[in-house]
Amino acid sequence: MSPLDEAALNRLLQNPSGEPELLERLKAGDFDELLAARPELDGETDRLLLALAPKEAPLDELGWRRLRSKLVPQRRAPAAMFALAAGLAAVVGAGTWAIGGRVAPVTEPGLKGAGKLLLGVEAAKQRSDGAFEVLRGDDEVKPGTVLAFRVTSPLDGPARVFLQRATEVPEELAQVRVKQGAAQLEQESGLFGVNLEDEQGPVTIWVVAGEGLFDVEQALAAIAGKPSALVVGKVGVRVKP
Amino acid sequence: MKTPGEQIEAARRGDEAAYRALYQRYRPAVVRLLEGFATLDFDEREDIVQDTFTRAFKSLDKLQVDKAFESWLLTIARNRAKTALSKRASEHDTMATFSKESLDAVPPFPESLTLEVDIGVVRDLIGRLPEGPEKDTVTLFYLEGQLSAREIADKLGVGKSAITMRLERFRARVKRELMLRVLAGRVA
Repeated sequence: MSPLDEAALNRLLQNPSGEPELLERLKAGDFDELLAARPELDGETDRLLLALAPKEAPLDELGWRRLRSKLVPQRRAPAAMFALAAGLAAVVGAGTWAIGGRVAPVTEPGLKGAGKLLLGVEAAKQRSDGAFEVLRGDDEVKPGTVLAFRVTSPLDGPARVFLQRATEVPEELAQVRVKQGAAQLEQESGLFGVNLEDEQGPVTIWVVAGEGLFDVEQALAAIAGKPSALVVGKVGVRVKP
Repeated sequence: MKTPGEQIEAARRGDEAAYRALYQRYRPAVVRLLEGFATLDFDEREDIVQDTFTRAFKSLDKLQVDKAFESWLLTIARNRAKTALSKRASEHDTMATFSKESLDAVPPFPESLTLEVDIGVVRDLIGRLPEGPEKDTVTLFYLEGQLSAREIADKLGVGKSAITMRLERFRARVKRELMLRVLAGRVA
């Protein structure tokens, strides 16, 4: 009896009619482990299995934006989200929100929700000297202001960040994670920030979080105040030239 | 509306709308594949989705048979997932384990496979599984297609790795059946 190894499998794949014994052993599943480790038919197997319950989904806008930035030259978008420089991490990364000598209260305006399900969201703007200053709710800022955020959350979990211009439908900016307690809002490449270049008028940043995965529609429903297991918070600024 | 083949052709020319259309069309399958790896967390999964599409779009010139695009994309995603899990397990072993990996290589598309016919083969395989945890897991993940492997682990009250192993075991059977069909086509 031939040993069941890579060489035997190669012989079989190259000349199945010449290896009847190995073919029978393939049928019996004796090669399953070896076959699973090889790349042949990997994609076809997955394609077939996933076709049993095919899924469609609306465009994942955030994912598309991330991907586009790697594929095509970028135009600068208003209200662009980005990772703040490492220097900011050094300023606010000590676990406090003491920027510019102030410690912002956790319960600033910018809370929404019911009962104990609340997210506190605070914003800080970057000053011309590079330092960050905590904002009060609905403070006036100039176009091009860079905002960073701290979130006080009752849970650990995935979160979605939205930007809303006046009363327009909120536009998703990012998918992040929040941690129980108070922490700066971060994305994989560093602190999460928003550039208000080209913005004007009232701008609201919404953060929606949950204990499990949720989609944009669920987040928007929670923002709209519909009953939801998600927790919601917001902070508003007024952009004025 | 353009066909997938036309979108792939346009994407080869750097057409942004084509990239976008392909991303929208195939992202759900890539995400679903990655949901079968129960130990991948949300952030890791999203990173792999990005990496998969970036690599595929940047290597489109190597794709000779457009209808192999989805299989190729899923192969890249699976390899990326394995690499991520391997890196987590041991940074040192990554290169040794996956040194044979060639993400940009496009495997030949087996003409003897037909999705519609082979789906029937897979349904039959599931039907013939003995009643038990493997059949429950495969049914929940592949037939019902709603829960992730992580969520199935919670639902069935077993470890995440056990769910991934059950799915992989079944996948190996499917792969064997496909291989037999390919070999039969070659013999004929």
